[in-house]
Amino acid sequence: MPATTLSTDDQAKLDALTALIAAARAAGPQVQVVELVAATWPAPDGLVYYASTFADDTWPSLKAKLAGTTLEPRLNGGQFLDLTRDSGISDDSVSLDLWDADHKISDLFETHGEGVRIEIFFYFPQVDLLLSMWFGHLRPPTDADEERFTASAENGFMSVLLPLPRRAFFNTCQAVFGALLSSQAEIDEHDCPYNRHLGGATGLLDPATGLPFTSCPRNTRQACIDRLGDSLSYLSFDTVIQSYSVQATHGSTIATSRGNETNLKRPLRVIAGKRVVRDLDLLEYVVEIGNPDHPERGSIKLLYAVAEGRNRSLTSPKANNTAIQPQHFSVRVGAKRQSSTGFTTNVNNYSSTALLNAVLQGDFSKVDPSQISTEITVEGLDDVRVYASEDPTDFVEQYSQDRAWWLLHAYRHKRWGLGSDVRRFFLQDFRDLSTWFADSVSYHNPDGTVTTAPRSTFNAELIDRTAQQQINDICLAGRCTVPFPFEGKLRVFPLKKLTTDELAAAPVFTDYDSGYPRNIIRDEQTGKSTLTRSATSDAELPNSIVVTYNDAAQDYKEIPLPPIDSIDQQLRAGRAFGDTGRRAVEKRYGLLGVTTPGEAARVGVLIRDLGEFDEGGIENNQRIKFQTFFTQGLGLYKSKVIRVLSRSLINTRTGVQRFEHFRVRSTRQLPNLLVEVSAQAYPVAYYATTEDLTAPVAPAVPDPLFNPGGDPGDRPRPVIFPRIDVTADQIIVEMARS
Amino acid sequence: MSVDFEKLITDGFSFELASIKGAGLFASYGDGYGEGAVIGNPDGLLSWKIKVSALPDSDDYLLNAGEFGLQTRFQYLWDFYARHNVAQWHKVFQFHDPLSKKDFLADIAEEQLDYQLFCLTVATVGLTIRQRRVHGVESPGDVVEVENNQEI
Repeated sequence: MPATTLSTDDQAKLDALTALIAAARAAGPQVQVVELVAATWPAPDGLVYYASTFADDTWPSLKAKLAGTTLEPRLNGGQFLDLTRDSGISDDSVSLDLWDADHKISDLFETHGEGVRIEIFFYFPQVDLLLSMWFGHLRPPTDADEERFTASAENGFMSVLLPLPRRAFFNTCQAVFGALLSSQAEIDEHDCPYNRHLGGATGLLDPATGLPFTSCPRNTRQACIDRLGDSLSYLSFDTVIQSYSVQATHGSTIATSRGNETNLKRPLRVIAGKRVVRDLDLLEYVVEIGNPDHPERGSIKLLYAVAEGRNRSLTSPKANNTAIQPQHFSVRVGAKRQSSTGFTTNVNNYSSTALLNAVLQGDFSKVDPSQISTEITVEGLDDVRVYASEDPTDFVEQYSQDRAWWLLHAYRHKRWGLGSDVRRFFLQDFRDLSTWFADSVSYHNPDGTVTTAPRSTFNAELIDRTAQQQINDICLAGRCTVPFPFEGKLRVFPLKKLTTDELAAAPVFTDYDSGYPRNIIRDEQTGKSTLTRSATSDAELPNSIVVTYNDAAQDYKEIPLPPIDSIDQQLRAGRAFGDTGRRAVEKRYGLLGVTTPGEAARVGVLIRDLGEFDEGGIENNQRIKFQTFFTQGLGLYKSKVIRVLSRSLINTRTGVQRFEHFRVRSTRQLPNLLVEVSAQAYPVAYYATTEDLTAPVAPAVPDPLFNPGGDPGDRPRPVIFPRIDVTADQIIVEMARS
Repeated sequence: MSVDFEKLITDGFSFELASIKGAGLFASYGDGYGEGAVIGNPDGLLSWKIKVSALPDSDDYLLNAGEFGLQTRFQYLWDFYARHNVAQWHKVFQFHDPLSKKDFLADIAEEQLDYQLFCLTVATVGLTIRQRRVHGVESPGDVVEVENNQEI
C-alpha cells in the first residue's frame, strides 16, 4: 500500500468516508458530494472557487474550510465535470463551462490570460473532506458567448509540449530578475542573485529612486552591471567580437573572433551521470594565421557550449578522434557566475554553461569550424536534489546517476526543466523509487553469463525533445509510471511485482454475485454489464523488440541489442495471417539513460512480455474497461492493481478466469459520477518469475532458429565472396559463381 | 444576513400540491443492487401549486397589501406577478408554507404570462411557487401559525 499524500487529519476523514460509503451500501445514509473548481487568478484577484450552487450555504462546514475565499455558483447544476485521469504528461484536458452573464470570468481572463491554475475538488460534507481530484491550467475560451464562458483546462501546470531542456541560444539574458522573486530560496533556484528587495546584500539600488530595482530589461550586459555591479550572471549567449594581433617571427596578423550562436537552433543539452558528449555546440572560434607563408603553423581556438551546468567534471576532450593535450584546452563546469575561459580577453563567462575552450594547431584557414568533430567526457550535473523528507528545503545537492532523482530534477529545474513546484510532488515516492532502482537484480549478459547490478541507473544526454517525450522515456526505461495527479500531488510508482498480501488486498470489482458486493455498473434497461474486454491482434502485437542503449564500455555509443524475439508469438502472428510461418512484428526502443547491455536486455524482455508501462505485451494481452460509481473509484489510480471478477471473463470450457488481476491504466469520471476504468491484465505468475531479485529475466540471446536465407534449423555460416571490387563510389560484390 | 423580501399574501389561496425534489445520482449494479449519492442540498427543493377558485376584481374583496395599499385580490396578485416576474426576473419573495408552517424564500416559476393566461393559470392548473435560496440568508424561518382566514 503506497504512502498517502494526505495529512493525518485528512486521511482520517478519508477513512471515515470509506466507512460511510460501505455503510451507504448497507442502507446507511448516502454520501453527499459537491464539486468545486478552484481558479488561482494572479494578484490582486486571487483564489476563487466555482461550484454549481452556493455550497457553502448548504454546508457551513465548507464555509469554514474555505476560510473566507469566495465561492461563486457558475458551474452547471446536476452534473459533474468530465475528468480523465491518466498520466501527468498527457494532453488530457477538462472542459469548463462557467456562467458568465456578468462578464466577470471573461474580464478576469482578459486581465490575466492563459495559464491560470485550475484545481478540481470534491467536498464531502459529512466528513468535512476537501479532496483534490485533478489539477491543470486554463486555456483560452472556445465558443464563449454572452452567457457562458466555455474553455478547457489542460493537464498539469506547465505544458508538457515545451522542449526539455529548454534554454535556447538567445543573445539576451534568460535569467529571471531576482527582484521579481519573493524569497531567497526562489532566488537560489534561479540564475540572477539580486536580493536587495529582500534586504539582502547582492545588487545595487536604483539611483533614480534610491530603492531596490523592480525590473530589468535583460537586454544588455550594462543592464546587468547597473543592477549587480558586474555581468557575471548575464545568462546569454552573446558573442563578444574581438580582434587581436597574432605575433609571428616575421610580422603579425590580425585574428578576429567569430560568433556561431545564431546557427545553434536546438536548446543546450543536459548531461545526467557519465557520458561522452559529441556534436558540441560551437559558440565562437578564432582562426589564427601567424605567418601567411606557413599557414600550417597556425591554429584555431574553439569555444564550445558543452551542456547546462553545474557538472561534476569535463575531461578527455578529443578533436577529430585525437586527444587534445592538457595544455591546449580548458574547461568550465557551468557554475553560476563562473570565471571566463580566456578564449579572448573580453569573452562572456557564460554563467551556468559548461564550456570547452580548445586550441587545435594547423592550417584552419580553409576549414569550416563546425565540421571539426569534437567530443568530451562529462560527469553530469552535481546539483541534483535528493530529498530526505517531505520538507522541500530538506535536500542535498549531489552528482547522481539515480533515475528517480533525475526524473524529479527534470520536472523541477527552473532553468532547463519544467520548473514545477516541488511541493506538488510526493517526495516519498521518489525515495521509494530510488530504493527500488538501487536493488540488485540479475542480468543475463550477451555471452549468457549472469551478473547482478542495480535495477536501473541513469546516464543520459537530454537534448532537443519535448518534456512529454523525455519524461516518458525516462520512466519507460526505468519501468515506473510517469508521474500522475492523485489526491492533489503528482505521484509516481514502480511497475513492480505485488506481494501476496498486496494482491490479497487489491480492491475487487465484480458484476455478478461472486461473493463480493457488486460494483460494476449494469445498464438499467438491458441489465447488461458495462465490462468489455479486448486484446491486441497477434498480427500487431510486437514480438521482436529491438532496444538500443548507449554502451558505457564503448564510449557511450548507441548500440542495438540483438532482437528480443518470441518465437511462439511470431508463429501466432503467422497464424493470424493464415499461414504456418513465423512473422516478426518489430518495434524499436531507445532506452534513455541505460548504459549496460544487461539492463537493456532486461528492460527489452519486459517490454516484449508486458508492453510499454505494462499496458499490453505477450504475457498480459487482455484489456478491460468497465464503469463503476465514483465512490468505488476514489482510491483508483494509474498502475494500481485491482481484482476483477466477471462471468464474461471466465472460460466456460475450463471454468477458469485467465486473468483476475488487472493494472489500472486510466480512469475517467463521467458527468453522472460514473467512473470508467481501463485496466490491463496483471499476470501474477509471470511477475513471480521475473521480478524476484535473484531470478534473472529470460535472456535476450540470439534466436538459434533465426537464419535468414538459410534453412530452418541451420546454423549461420560464413560466406566467402568470390570477388569484391571497390570503385570510387561503389562496392561490387559477386555473391556466387557457378 | 438580514434582507427584507416581500411576502406573498396567500389569503384565499387553495394549495393544490406541495412537492419536494432531491438532487442525486444513482448507479445500478443490476438485479436491484445499486448505489446513490446526494449531490445537492439534502433538504431538497420544495414547490407548491396554488389555485384561486375565485379571484374577484371587486372592491367587496379588498385586502391590505401593505405599502401598496388596499387592492382587489385580482389586482394584488397580478401586480405581485408583474413586480416579480416582469419588472424583475424571478425575484425572490417570502412565502408561507401551510404544511410546515414555515416561511420559505420562493419565486414564481411561470414566465411570459399575459393577462388572460394568468387568469387561466391561476384558476385551472395553478401557479407554481418554487423554493429559492439566497446566499447568506437563512431559510426557511421558524414555525409560525397563520390562518387562511379570508377564504371566499
